[in-house]
Amino acid sequence: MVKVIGSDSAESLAQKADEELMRRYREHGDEAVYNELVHRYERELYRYLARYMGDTSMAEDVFQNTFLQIHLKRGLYEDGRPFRPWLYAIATHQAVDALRKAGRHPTVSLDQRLSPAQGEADAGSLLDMLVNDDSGPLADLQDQERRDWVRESVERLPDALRQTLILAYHQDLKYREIADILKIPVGTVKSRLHAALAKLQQMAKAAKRDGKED
Amino acid sequence: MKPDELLDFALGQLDDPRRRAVEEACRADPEVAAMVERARRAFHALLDDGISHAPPPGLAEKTLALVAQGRNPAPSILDYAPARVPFRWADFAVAASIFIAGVVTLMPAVQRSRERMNQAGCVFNLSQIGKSLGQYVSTHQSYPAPPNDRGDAKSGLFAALLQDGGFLQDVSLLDCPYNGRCDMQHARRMASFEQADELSKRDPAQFQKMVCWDYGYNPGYRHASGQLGPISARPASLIPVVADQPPADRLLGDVDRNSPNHFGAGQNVLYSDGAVRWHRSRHVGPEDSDVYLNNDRRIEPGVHERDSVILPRDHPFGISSGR
Repeated sequence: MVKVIGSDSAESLAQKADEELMRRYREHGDEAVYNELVHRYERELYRYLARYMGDTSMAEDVFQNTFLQIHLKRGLYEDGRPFRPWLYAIATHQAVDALRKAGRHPTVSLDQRLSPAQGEADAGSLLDMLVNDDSGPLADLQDQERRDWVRESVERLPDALRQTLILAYHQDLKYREIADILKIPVGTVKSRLHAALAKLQQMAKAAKRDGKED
Repeated sequence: MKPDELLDFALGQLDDPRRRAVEEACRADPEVAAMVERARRAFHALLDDGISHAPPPGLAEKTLALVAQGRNPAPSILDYAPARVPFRWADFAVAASIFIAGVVTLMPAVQRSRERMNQAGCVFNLSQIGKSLGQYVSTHQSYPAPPNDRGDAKSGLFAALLQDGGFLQDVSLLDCPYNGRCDMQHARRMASFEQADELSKRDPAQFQKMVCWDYGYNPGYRHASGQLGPISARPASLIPVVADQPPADRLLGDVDRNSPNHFGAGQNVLYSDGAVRWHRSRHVGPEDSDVYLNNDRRIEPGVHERDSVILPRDHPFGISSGR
């Protein structure tokens, strides 16, 4: 029996890896393959964009533009390249462009390096800081208060730290994938993540101190 | 166990072999397990904002529709235009007609503009010659005239007399820009009145080349004493002194023939007051009906003060009562 390329059912496409689907879309332009990719990343990518941009309608536009770019630039996809970081890289660039056009400039550009003091938080001291405070600086807050505090504090982080934090914690991406998306070394991804955590911990302690003084 | 690895483990960043090693360490040492648990709780407390963004309904479908639009763009008016237009003589004729109409419309304006420019150039030349003559008259108390025994010298050599006195620095002023026929290279070889006068006798053809300029000179008139002499330094009335050259000898008798410098349209005349006036005919005053002939209809100096005659440059002064 001869298998016709591009005639797979939706079930069989769902079994295929992203990279295989993208390769087939690049070569045959099969709409069913493209549909599968859009549906596969609908929730995940939208969640990332909405959280990073802080605006759901802009996130929706950027989501659509990202997949339009995937369609237009499918010829640039290289065999063997992981699809997810490629998709996130395109989405991140689209998001940064949209924020700039809207007058909301990201505070730190994608490839900007942080100062060593800010970027290389010592893992040992960070772990101590997180683990040794038994009750935690936010323990006194109600759950809803704590969540509001988290939202506001993450919003106040420098853009490069916030971006790394979202990709690593909320999107569950691996260091290597984040490095691929942001075009920075893996070590820089780790140091940015540690710096973000340390900064949040400091802000939490400061908030607790302020609360007690009040 | 390195703190670095424990942090990465709590963040879910370790790959399989390292993750298994940390899990093993946690099983073996409850203290490590507790540390990891506290780190996880700390992360949760610092990072969990409780928001779960769900995509709006139909986002995927809208995206697919957008891309489908890109695949099949709406027809544009350019799609109906032929990609390659065949050559047609009718198109060429229309383009040529438009071009010719444009040229025909613009040419007269361009021509008029050029004529005005050349006319202004001719007036400027005569004004400058007028200033040179004024300086000459101030110095010599007389308009340029040949020495006593040289009445047969060509009247065109008034320019040589000006040049000898240092009043005419640039002979290109003698070229009327309207007709553009004069080759001033030869005129620039004129060394002095004596040399030019000698050349006129020795080699008339070469002399003609040298005095190729476009302006004629009024050598003077018959004074009350009966003698022919140059225009007086302070004439009682306005006297034409220099003008566009007269027509050729064979046409000179026809009063309707104007100077060839402006293609017969008229002539610029420099008067003794230094002003330049344009005349459409040879009639320049009540007592001077022809600026190129005297009142006896001859190519000779005038019969009285107000009978001015602009001689061709190769005609003799005809007077000998100059300096």
